[in-house]
Amino acid sequence: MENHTHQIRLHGDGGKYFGILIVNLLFTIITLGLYYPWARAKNLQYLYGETEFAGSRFQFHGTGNEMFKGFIKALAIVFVLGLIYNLSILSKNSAIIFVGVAVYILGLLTIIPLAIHGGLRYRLSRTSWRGIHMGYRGNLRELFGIWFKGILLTVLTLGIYGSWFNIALTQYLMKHVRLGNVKFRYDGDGSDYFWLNVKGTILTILTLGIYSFWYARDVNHYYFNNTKLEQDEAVSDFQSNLTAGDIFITGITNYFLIVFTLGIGTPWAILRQMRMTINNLELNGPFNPDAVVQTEEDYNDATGDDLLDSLDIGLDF
Amino acid sequence: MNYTGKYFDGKSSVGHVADIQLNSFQIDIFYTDAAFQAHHVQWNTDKIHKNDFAEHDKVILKYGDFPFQYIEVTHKGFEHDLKRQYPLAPFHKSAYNWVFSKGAIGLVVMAMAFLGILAFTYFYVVPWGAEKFAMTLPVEWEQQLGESVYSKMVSEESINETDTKLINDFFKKLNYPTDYNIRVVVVKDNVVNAYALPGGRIVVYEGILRKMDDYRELTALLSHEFSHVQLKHSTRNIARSLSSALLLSVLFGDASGITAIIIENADAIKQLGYSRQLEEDADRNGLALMKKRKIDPHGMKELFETLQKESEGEEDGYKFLSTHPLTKDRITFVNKEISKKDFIWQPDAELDSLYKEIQINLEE
Repeated sequence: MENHTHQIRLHGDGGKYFGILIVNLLFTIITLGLYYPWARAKNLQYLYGETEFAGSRFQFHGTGNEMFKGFIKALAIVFVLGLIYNLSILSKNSAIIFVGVAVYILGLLTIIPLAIHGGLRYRLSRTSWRGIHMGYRGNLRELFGIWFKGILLTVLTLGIYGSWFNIALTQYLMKHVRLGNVKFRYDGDGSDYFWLNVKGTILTILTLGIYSFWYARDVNHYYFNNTKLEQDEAVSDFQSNLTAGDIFITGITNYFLIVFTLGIGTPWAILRQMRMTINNLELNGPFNPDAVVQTEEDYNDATGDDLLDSLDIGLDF
Repeated sequence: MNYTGKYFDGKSSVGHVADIQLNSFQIDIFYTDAAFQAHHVQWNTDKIHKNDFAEHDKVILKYGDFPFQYIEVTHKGFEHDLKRQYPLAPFHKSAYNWVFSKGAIGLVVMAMAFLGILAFTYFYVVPWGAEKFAMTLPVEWEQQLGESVYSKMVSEESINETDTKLINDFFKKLNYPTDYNIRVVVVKDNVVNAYALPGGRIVVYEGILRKMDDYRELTALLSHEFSHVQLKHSTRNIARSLSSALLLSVLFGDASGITAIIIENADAIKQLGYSRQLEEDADRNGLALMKKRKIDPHGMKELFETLQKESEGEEDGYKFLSTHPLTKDRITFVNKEISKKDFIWQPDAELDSLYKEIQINLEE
């Protein structure tokens, strides 16, 4: 089998993106926020449509209607949790406050894996490339197992287990991602990731923050360079060529781009930031872009995706 | 109209090179697969998905139900021909494409208009709405609000207890009808100021009492401040000035902190100026009350004139003027009101003696 390099590119035009964001903002304000799910759908539709892999664009198929239903459900869940929390605090009775806060924290901890599961199923089902849909086939019970074990051990080890937790979670999620009959895999290792974080934290402190750019690069490389694609047993590797300089320069210039234009430059800055990560990615190996076959089913419940959005957790694929 | 593009059948990732014909009622797609089998696919233009954000040199069309079919055409004329051939087809209709069709200048104009609307809403619509809302609030709520602000303020001041009792007696003797529980307090401080809080608290500083000449002026001051309470000016004013800050705090996720914001701003509330309209309303209402109570309305005019004249020489201490702008116009307004209505008044011995007692207790 021949090996190839396939590039990933984010095109996108700042002016056009500015227009989309302005229209989104305008409609959202006029409708007192009700348009927000449609705005989010349009935003994703544009960004996916501008992302090219092996010469073809991605597509986002989610619709405002689907996301609105999820939005309402997510809002209701977050609202009920917030209500329990606020009412218990207002009661001024320490026993009730204790129960209320415990329910709130447990509720949040339960919601997050639910949201990740539902969010991935929806978002990936709504993502296609060359007409082939992605999908997530994870099992919610298994995810809960990894999640609560991870939270518990991370708390008991005062955060040390966090690195292993992070890797275990990524491995589980990746293992169940599909692009048609192509499977994803993540080969990261908890110990390596732990020492990477130790080194990064210590050097960042010693250099008064200067090392943080190299640290961010290392985390980026560790994430992408351990991500693999399996197509009929043939494995291809992602590779990130991001440098610390890229992170530094993009960060500084974006900062000025936003500040000196009083925020008008934000769409350009967002695109530049995404381009920095995406355009430095490539896939090396025997992957054959013409041999992917449709396998995944339709899935239209957007609650998880909207929950992730309301909890401010990003789905970065 | 014929074009060459790529066709994806929704089953595999192979892009078939296809001949694409834009015919009157449908798009016809012809391609040959890897097994040299010829295919003909027909697309009904009603089932083509909306084509937002199309790029001019590359058009991707999506068709039908899941799994979707696609065609991809990289040709500058294709977008234009699509529009010409199917002008009424639903896939063209998009608010976003309409915005983009206005070009860069259109975008800038829309952005400016948008910012304008935002600013107008923030500076006018929101305060206006808040004020309207405040007028519907029940008296109990106003009282609660006033009490929380009051307790914060008074903790920093020392109170003249004797005069507070006397001035409340004085106010009760005025016998003004009201739903509010009016409580006046005299603060030991030489600042020339007085203000009203929502729900019935009136705060009078010793400084302003010292400037007065007789009980008619005190009646005028209390009538004026009472009118601010009675007409809900204080509540409306707080709602108006804090509405924008409140809106921001609600938008950025902290809806619980409304009372906290009001209390935090308690000191600023003291300094809030009323609009000219509200001042005139309070003056007019105050005068009407004085008329009914048969107190000489010239007390109000004289109070204002004393404050105005004396303030010219001094810089500090005249806080009353910053919260109740005493322009010459307002004195003229009071004069006009007095001449307009036929006031009848008579001396009031009870008020006079209470007033004198208040003054004596100041001297200590």
